[in-house]
Amino acid sequence: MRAKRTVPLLHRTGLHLRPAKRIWDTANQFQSEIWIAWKGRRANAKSLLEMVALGALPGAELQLEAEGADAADAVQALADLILKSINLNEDL
Amino acid sequence: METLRGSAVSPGIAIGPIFLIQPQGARIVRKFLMPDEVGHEVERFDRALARARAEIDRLGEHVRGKLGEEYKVSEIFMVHLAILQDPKLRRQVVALINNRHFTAEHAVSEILRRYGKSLEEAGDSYLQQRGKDFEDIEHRLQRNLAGQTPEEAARLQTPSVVVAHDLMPSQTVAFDKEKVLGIATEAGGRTSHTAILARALGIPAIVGVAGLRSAALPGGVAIVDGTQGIVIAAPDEATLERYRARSRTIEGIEERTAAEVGRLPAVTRDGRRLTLEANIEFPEEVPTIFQHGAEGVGLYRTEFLYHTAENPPDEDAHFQAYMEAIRALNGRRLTVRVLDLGADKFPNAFPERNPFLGCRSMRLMRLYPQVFRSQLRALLRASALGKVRLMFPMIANLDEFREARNMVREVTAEFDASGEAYDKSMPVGSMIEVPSAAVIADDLAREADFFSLGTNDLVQYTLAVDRDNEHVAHLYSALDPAVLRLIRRTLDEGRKAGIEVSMCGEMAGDINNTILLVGLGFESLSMAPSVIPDIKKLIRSIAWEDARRIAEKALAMHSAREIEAFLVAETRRAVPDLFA
Repeated sequence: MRAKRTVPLLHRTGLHLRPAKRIWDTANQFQSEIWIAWKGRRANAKSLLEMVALGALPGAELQLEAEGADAADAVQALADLILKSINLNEDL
Repeated sequence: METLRGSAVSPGIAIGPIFLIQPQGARIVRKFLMPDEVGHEVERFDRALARARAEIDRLGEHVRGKLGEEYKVSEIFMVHLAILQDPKLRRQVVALINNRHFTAEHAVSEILRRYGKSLEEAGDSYLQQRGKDFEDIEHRLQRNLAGQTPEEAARLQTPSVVVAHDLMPSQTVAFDKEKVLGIATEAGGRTSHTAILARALGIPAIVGVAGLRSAALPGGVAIVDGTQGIVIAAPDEATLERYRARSRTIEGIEERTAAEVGRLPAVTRDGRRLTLEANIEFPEEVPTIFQHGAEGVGLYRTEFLYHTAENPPDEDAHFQAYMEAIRALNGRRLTVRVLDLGADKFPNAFPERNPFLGCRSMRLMRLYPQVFRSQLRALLRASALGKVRLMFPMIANLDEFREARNMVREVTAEFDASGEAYDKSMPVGSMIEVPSAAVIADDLAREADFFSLGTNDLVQYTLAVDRDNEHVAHLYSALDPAVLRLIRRTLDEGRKAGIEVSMCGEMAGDINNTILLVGLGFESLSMAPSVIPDIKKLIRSIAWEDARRIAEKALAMHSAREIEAFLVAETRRAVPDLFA
C-alpha cells in the first residue's frame, strides 16, 4: 500500500529539532516506510538526522509518502500532527 | 589588570578564580588510517558513542533533579540522545572510516558539521542558535574519543567564574548555582541560552566580550560585573577591594531590605506616594524583586517564554508561568505585556526590509491569532487567581487597540459560555511607545484602562534614531524635548480621563531621570529590580513641590544635553552619598 499527501509547514523554526522529533516519534509508531520530501529531496521520517538535514523552512510544502501495511494511517497521522499541532505551535 | 566590555545580560557582581572552558571540537587531526587500523577505529568510535549516550542519560537526570521539568531543558538531552541513537549517524561515520580511512575524530566532525551547517546557512540567528546543538553533540563525541571525562561546570569543585568562548546548551543547563559565581563569554547575545539560563539562576553574566580568553587566563582571578557589563581580569588590589565593598553593599542591601528599603514606602518628604514596580522576564524572579523593595510587577516580558522553551509556548506553558508569578506576588499586581515579538522570529515567512517599521508585536499577533489567543486564554485563566493586568505593545492607532480588545472580548465570551472563572474587571491597557499613540492619547485614554510608556521605542521612533548605530547614537536621548513633550501629553490625557499612566521603559530605571518623572506627576514607575533601592532612596529625599519646579524648568529647556546636565546636578544634590 502506498499513500501520499502534501501539507504546508508553518512552524516558525521550520523542520528543526523539536518539530522533527515530534514527527520522528509519530513515524516510529508505524511499520511502513515513511518519507518526507521537499524541493526534490527526500528524508526518512524515522531518521531525525535526515529530516533535519532536509532543512525545510517555514512555509515549505512537505510531501508525505508512506509505503507499507499501515501507509494510509501513517500519512494521516503525520498530516494531523503537522496541521493540528506543529503548525498551531500547540503542544510543543 | 585588564578591563573588557560586553553586554550585561544578568545583573550582580561575581569575584573568583577563573575556570576556563576550552573551545570545543578543536584540534582535529586530519590524518588518514592504514588499512589494518580501520577495524580498530570503528570499535573506538562505537565505544565513544556508547559512553556519550550514557553521559547524556546521566546529565539529563541531574538537570531534571535540579531544575524540575519546567524549563523543558531535559528535552534538549532527549533530542541529543535521539540523534546519537540514529542508526544513520553511525552508518555515515563508519562509512567514512571504512571507505575513506578517516580517523573517527575526522569522520565525526565531517558528518555533524554537515548537519549543523545546513542550519547555520539559513542565515537566521534563531536557527544558528539551534545549530549549536550539533556542535554540542560533536564536542561530546570528540571528548569521549579523546578519553576525557566531562569538564562540565557542573563538576566544578571550587566556586569559580566561568570563562568560555561560548557555552553549549547542555553545559549551561548543568550549571550549579553554588559553584558558578559568574559567567563571561566571547559569543552570545541577550537571547542566547547562556543569557537566559544565567538570569533564571541568578548568576551574574556578561556575553559578547571580545578578547576575553586572551585576557582572562586560568589560574587568575576575574571580576564579572553583570550590572554594568564589565569583566576585569587580574584586578589590582584596589579594584578588588572596591568591588568587594560594592558586592558587600549589594548583599547588605539584600539583607537589610526587609528592615530598610522593603518596608519603607516610596514617598516624598512632603507626602506624595509612588508605586515602584519591577520589570521581569521570569516568574522565578518575583521573590528577588521583593528583596529589592518592589511592590509588584509593572512589566512582565512574556516573549522570554518563547526564547527559553525553544518552541512556542502553548496555553498551559503560559498559564504555568503566570500562575507561578501570581502565587509569588501574593496579592500584588502582575502587569503582563502581550508577546512583543519581532518578525525575525518568523524569518522566512516574513522577510522584513525595515523590521522596526514592519510586522512586529500586535501587528504580528493579528496575523497569528492562534498564538495570541492561547496567551489570552492562559492570562484570563490566571486572572482568577490574583491581580492581573494586560497590556498591548506597539499600539499606533485606535483601531489597533479596538481590534486587540475585541479579541479579548471574544475569549471572555468563550469563558462565559463554558463557565470558566476569570477576573471580569481585569484592566486592559495600552503601551504608549509609538509617537502617534502619544499624539492621540486623548482618544486612547477613553478606551484603555491604563497607559504604560515604553520609552525605548518611543525615543527611537520619535527621533528616528537606532541607538545601536554608532554614527547616530549621539542623537538618541530620552530627555530630548520632543520626547518629553509626548510623555507630558500622555500623562495629561491620562489624568483627564482618570486612568493610571505608568512608565516601564529604561528611562524609568535611570536615577538621573527620577526627579523629573516624579515632578511630571507619575504615580507608578516600573524598572529593573536592582535599581529600585537607590531610586526609592532618592524619592524619599526630595519634596514633590521641588520636583515639580525642577520638571517645569527642564521642560522649558531646548536641548537634551542641557536637560541632562541640569538633572544630573539636581540628582547629585539630592542624594550626594549615592555618588560618593
